Amino acid sequence: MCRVSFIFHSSLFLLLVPQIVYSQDSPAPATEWISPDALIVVEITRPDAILDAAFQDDVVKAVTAIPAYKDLMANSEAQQAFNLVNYFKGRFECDLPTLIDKVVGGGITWAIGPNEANLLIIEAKDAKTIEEIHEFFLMNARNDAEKAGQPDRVASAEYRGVTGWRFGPNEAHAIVGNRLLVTNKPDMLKLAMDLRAEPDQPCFADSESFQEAKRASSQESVATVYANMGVLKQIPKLQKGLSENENPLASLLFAPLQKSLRNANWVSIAAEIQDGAVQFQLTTDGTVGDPSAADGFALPEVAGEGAMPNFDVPQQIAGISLYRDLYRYYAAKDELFPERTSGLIFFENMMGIFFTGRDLTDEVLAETRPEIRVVVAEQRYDSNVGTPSLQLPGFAVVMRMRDPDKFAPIVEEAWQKAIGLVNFTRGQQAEPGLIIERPTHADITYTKAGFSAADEQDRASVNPRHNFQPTLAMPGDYLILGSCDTLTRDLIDAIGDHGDVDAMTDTHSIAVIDGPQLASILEKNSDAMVRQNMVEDGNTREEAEMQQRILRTVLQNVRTATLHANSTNGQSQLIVRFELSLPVSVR
Amino acid sequence: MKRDIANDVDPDWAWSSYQPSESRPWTLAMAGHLYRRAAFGATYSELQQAVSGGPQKTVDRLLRGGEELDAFHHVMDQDELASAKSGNMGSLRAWWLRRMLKTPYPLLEKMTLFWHSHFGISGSRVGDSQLMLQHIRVLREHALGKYSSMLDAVSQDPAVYLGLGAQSSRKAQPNEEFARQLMHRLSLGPGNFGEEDVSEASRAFTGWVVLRGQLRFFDREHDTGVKKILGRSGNWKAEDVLRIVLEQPVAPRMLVRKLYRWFVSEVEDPSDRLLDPLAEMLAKDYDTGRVVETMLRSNHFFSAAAYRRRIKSPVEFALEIVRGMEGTLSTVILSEELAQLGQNLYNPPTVDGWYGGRHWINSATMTGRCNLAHSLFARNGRYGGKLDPTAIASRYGYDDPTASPGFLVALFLQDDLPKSVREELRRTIPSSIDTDGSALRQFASNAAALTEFQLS
Repeated sequence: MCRVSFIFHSSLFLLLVPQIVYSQDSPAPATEWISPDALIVVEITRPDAILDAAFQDDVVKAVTAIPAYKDLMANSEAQQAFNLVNYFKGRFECDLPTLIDKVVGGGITWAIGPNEANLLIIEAKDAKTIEEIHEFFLMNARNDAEKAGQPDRVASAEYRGVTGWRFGPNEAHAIVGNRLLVTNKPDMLKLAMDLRAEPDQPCFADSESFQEAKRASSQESVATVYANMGVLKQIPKLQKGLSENENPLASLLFAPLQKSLRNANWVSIAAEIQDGAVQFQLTTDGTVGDPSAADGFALPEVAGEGAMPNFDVPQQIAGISLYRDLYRYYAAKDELFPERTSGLIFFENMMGIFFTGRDLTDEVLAETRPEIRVVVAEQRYDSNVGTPSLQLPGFAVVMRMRDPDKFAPIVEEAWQKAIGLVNFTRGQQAEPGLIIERPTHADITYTKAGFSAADEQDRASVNPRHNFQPTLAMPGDYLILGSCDTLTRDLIDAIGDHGDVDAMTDTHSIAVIDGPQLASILEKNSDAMVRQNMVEDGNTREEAEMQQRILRTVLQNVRTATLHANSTNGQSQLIVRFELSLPVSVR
Repeated sequence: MKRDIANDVDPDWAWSSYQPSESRPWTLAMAGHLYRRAAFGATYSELQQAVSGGPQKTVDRLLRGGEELDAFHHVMDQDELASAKSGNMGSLRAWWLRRMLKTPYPLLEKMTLFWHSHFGISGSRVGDSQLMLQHIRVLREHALGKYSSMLDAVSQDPAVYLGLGAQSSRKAQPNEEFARQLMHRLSLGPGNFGEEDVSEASRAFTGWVVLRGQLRFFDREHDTGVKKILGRSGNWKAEDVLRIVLEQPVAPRMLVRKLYRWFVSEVEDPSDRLLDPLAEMLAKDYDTGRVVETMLRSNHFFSAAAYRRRIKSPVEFALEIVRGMEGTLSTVILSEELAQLGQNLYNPPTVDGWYGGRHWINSATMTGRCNLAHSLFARNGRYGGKLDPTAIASRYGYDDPTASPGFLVALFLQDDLPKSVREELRRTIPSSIDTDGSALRQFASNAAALTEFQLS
């Protein structure tokens, strides 16, 4: 939290405080003023590109028109900040983009070191502006102290010919040439001055891994984050998160990435702004390992294999496609999760009930291909049932069977046993049970279970249990396990239309989220979301409504968010891309 | 020999209205005492208003509730119902805490909490959040009304039968749970009835069955024979049993004793002589509201016999901090923490409810209370720093850092501290400049950890 506070205060200061003496000589890169033991370094190398994108007329018009922006502007703290900005705009006779450009246009570098030490280096284009803003804050700090009857909070000292200033106990800063340096630990500031004065001393820029990461980053990036994994991996929480046998489900989902991060010396994340999109690319030197090893169940062994493209169904909220060999994963369980074996055996015994004593590894999982797709979509409700008071999205898991003639009846039996167990348990609690039907859609007969709606009085607000209509459909060699009927029918259609599509070579995980569709379902459950926010966060109804509006607005403007994880040349790469509704681009 | 300050008083004087005098003045401490018992603590402005308005006007206000009560209840009822429909008991618990925090009628919620413990119905046994919500609504509806009406309503509440394990009572096998609890805890008390009375009364409840969340009466399952209950014979039905038990002289006395423990003192066991005037008043028509009013207005209530003679329950402890700070925070998290401290709303530990008193305090819960106070006042963490002592002090004009600790002592402890404790607390006042309010937060947390703050 201390870090957040530091960032906030320094950002505000930075935004408004700029720089100084215009240096005749081009100064050394900011990373040469950073200690070699920095853990994370963020560099915004092209602030002009970000400003260009953020302040395009269309973007400004779109952002200021949204209700959430107006809500935010009504907030007194935001108002105060904007009044201050307006003051400086007037004083320097420029617009906001120009003001920001004058202050930070040369670039921003932020280093996080051990013991929560932070150093922020801002490179101004206009040194005079930063000096004047600094004077303004200096004067205000002194005035505030005087008004409160407190001693002057501002302190200053000389070090290596540079004046360092302090406004409070957790802040120190200095202006050197056209650079403003802000830190929460004065020692970091001193070290920066030492490195400036003695350029031969070891510094962060000399680090081999940093240089390697730099080379691996895209030249088009507007900002990069570098993390020293050699040190960060020692943090117990991260160590636990990367541990291969900590959580079987996490391993199944993230095994390749976990492994490469475990092996990594560095990780870099490069941000790019492209036409209408923002993209982040994670690169690391860590290897994903051997596909034939026990933990290689997510890595294709055969050329041309990989995750299949996601399905596309109406009102789709999200899709996930994974290349995972469940047979290999489960067969290696003793090796992968030695401490969890007894729990997994219990699970296996339970599965034995549903699969009539068959061996889970050899007679069940071995019957599936390494293709797993999950689809989440808004539901359409049957008017004979009604609309639930809480509208939950439907979800489905789609897999492929190796031998459908043999395996389909086994799955059908297991599924009906599971429904029977659910009904028995609900019956014990005097809760209504599921009724099994065998409808047909697009010539495919499938199995569906649903609750009777006969007792429902208000069809516009029926019990939330009607969100669940478990279904099992097996068109061709596909196996669809769905939570609702409409999604299953849409998937039967999608599979029919799908034809032969190629796998995405080397890609082991793909995820896509549709922002507007997610916003749509949030809006349909707005009352419930607001209520939940009120008791969970302690907000007033108005505050909760505003937060929900902001969230929906953000989602509506993120057309899609996609994630691609692949293992090119034995190394992990992760690309997260946000396609925006706003017309952002770099000129 | 220890003096019994609760019973060494003339009952007539004890229950007469308190009129401030030179020897027994109306002070900030007394105002705080009233708000601790009849509400969940007070805001600074409520304390100031109470001090200037005097005791009786303040009691009037507490008995009447604030403005826009109907609108408040309407909105809260809707929120709670939506939460109950989702089946989430944790969320329901959080909504009740929020209601306690925000209500313009805290006495009503305080009494609802009293009855919740009195009937001891647990959501974990009922297993249906909508039925539990309905149960609490029944308690709230009759909280300051007539106990006889409340018992009638409770006897029609399916949650009560489920909570007592009495969901089915048939002629061939009468379920004794309802009749036993009615006599043992809800009216007569132990030693005032026999096993025969329980067996006979349970026959009167035959035919009542809870099916799919509804209480239904099956005539064919009702025992129509003659039952002899507490010496009276007849073809009694459920409503007759309720009437008969309340006609017993011990019934009002038992209830008054419970109310005394809730509102006045849980230290001494009051004598029958002291309670008789209230028991006689209650016996007339079982109007609990009138008895509560008499207690709250009385000389006895504003005397040493009542002052700081109770230990705050976890709910009282936490809400007094939050109300005092005039803040709102996550009641989901708060309700979980209160459950860990022993008060899990909607889930009393047994049908006897919460024992209260010294049962609230042990080394683990005391540490837990200190940790909770620390979390509530912390700048960051679970509650997000939403309670800000500097801001509340500033709102009342205590901007000066040297004055704000004093403001907090007045707010939470009404300046009533032994000299040694006051000195000890004073030593924790921040001496350096408190630029971000952290030191004042720590001071507030220290104040809430004092023994005096644990007492009601």
